[in-house]
Amino acid sequence: MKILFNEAKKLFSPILLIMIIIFAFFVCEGFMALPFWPQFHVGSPYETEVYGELIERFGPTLSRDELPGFYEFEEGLIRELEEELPKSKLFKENGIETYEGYLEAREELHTKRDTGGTLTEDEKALLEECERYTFREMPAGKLLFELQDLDRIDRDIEYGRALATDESIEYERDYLDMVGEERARLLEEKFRSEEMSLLPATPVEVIKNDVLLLTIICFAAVFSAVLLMLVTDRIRGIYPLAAASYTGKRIFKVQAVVCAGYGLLVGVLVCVIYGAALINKGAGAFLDCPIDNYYNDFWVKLSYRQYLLCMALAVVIFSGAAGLLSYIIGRLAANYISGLAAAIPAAVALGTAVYFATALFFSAQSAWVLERFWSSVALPFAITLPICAFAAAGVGLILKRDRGRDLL
Amino acid sequence: MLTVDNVTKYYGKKPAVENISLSLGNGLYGLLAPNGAGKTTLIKMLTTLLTPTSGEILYCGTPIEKLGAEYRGLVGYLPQRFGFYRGNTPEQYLEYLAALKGMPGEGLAEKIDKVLDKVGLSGSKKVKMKKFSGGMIQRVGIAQAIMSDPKILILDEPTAGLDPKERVRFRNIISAMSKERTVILSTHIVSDIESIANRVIMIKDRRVFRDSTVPELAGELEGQVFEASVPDGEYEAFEREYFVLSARQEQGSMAVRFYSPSPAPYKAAEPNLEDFFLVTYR
Repeated sequence: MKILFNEAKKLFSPILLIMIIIFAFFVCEGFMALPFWPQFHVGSPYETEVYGELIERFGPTLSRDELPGFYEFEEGLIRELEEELPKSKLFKENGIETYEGYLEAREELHTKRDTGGTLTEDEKALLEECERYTFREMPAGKLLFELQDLDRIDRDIEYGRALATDESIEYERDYLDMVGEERARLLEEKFRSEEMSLLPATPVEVIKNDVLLLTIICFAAVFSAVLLMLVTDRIRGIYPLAAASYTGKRIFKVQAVVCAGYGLLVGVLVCVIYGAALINKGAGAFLDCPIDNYYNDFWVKLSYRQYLLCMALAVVIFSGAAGLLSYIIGRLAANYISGLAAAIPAAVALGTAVYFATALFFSAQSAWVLERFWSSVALPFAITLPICAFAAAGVGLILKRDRGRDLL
Repeated sequence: MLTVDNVTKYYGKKPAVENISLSLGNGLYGLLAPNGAGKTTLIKMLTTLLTPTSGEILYCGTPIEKLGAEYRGLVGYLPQRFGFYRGNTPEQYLEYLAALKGMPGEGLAEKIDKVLDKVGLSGSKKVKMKKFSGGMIQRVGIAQAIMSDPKILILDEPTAGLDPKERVRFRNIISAMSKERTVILSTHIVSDIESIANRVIMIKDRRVFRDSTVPELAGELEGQVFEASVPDGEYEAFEREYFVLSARQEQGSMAVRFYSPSPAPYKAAEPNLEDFFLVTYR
């Protein structure tokens, strides 16, 4: 136990861990898709806020019984907007006083311009005014974006993608006929559900992509620390002393365990930092929402919280496997440079595997096929666990080789 | 009792040592040979770092690889180039190695203090080793080897980097320890073992060439070592005729100590281990 603790002390340098935390924090804040907009143009910049407000009012799902309340909320926003519209002289002159009137005028002017028509000076000015009203800085801009988000829910209900009726589902009929019997059955079941999840698409989309980045951070952090320890121990000639002592070659096994443990710790740290950043950006509102809605190709009954935990677990498992893979590279590398050279193809291979596990397989085309065997959520594990098994087998082989091998 | 029974070690197709047989009880054994003769290979086999290609090493009649940790727990080892962490203090480093040696935590601090005092480093136990001289580092190495009070102490070139005063201190420590244990001291520096070794094992052409006491080895050159004062102008011719063991410049001449297998018209000198070493490996 003391040996394990001593080896861990070598690897778990507080300075290194603080550096990993700071690095992960800056990467999460600066480079990841956390600021939900405009990386994914599915929603508006106020998507998180407005959906959060809906969740506060109706809970994580919206049921058929709650629809009147939803429309009332929407009308409240429209009333607020309609108090803003008359403040524009141009709108007043053109008789635009309602939300619907505003949308119609803007649509008409856009269509005319985009279909080669020539806008008069007055029309140009009116279009500019319409656009100006959508600016985020304008009070009406925020309301328009929020209404745009609510419109999406309206459309989903109207076109039978959620809370579908026998009548509304017919809008999706062509699509359902096209996707094959099994998938159509699953989709129809989802569309006809008595409740629709108030989880927008973006918070799920960002996770799929960010998981890949998180694993790269984990691999880089784990690999650099492990390589440093193992190559330093060899270059400094620690191993002959250790192997000739009571502990013997068991030191190698202890170090492998420590490397895997370090990987797990880094994985947990990185996920906690990412999770904190995610919550800070407003995703906390969605934690109880089911993930299986029209925008997210899931059928498994999980909440967003459970989904996040599953993804985090996959990252942590991968990070543990990264610890073992780093151990293999560190043990085989003659020096830091050759270790680094070996790490590049390893990182590319792992990155590709994780990409397939988290991003590609989530695509609508493939997810449903795999759904029949597992759920999409299980896929990262279907990839990370074999990586883990491969790494463990590699470590096992190296340790077996050590037993009968001369230590020069 | 440590027995080396007809041990041979090959690196690939190249033999490093061949048919080595030794019997080592309590006492100090000097393993003497020039660099590259196979001393380190033999030592690494004694410490289980290398496995003999043929033959076996036994401790009290049991092969050491069978004893495993039980045997390694009895061994204190100082490698030729021992590893340490520059950022550690000797105290931290010895604590780290104590865990590897399976030493109990109870009374460890006192043991470390004692051993550091023994090698003259008690005043520097809290100083990071990156600030240490080569001699101080070597003393930490000696400290770690003797820390667990081993039954078998194996030291590979232990005096490298030590100044004369430190060498004497080291010899005294080792000599005292050898009363109750087997001490194997590998070196190519004759003076390290001349005064303290109970037996000297010499390796030549990958085999044990002599396994004897210092007086016996030196005695083999009885009547073959001479001293002479050779005028400067004649020294070159003298060197061609005799094997010079040492030469010292004097006023207009050289005070020479030399080896001659046949009687020479010079004053006979008392042969020593260094003479034997030089003659053996000339």
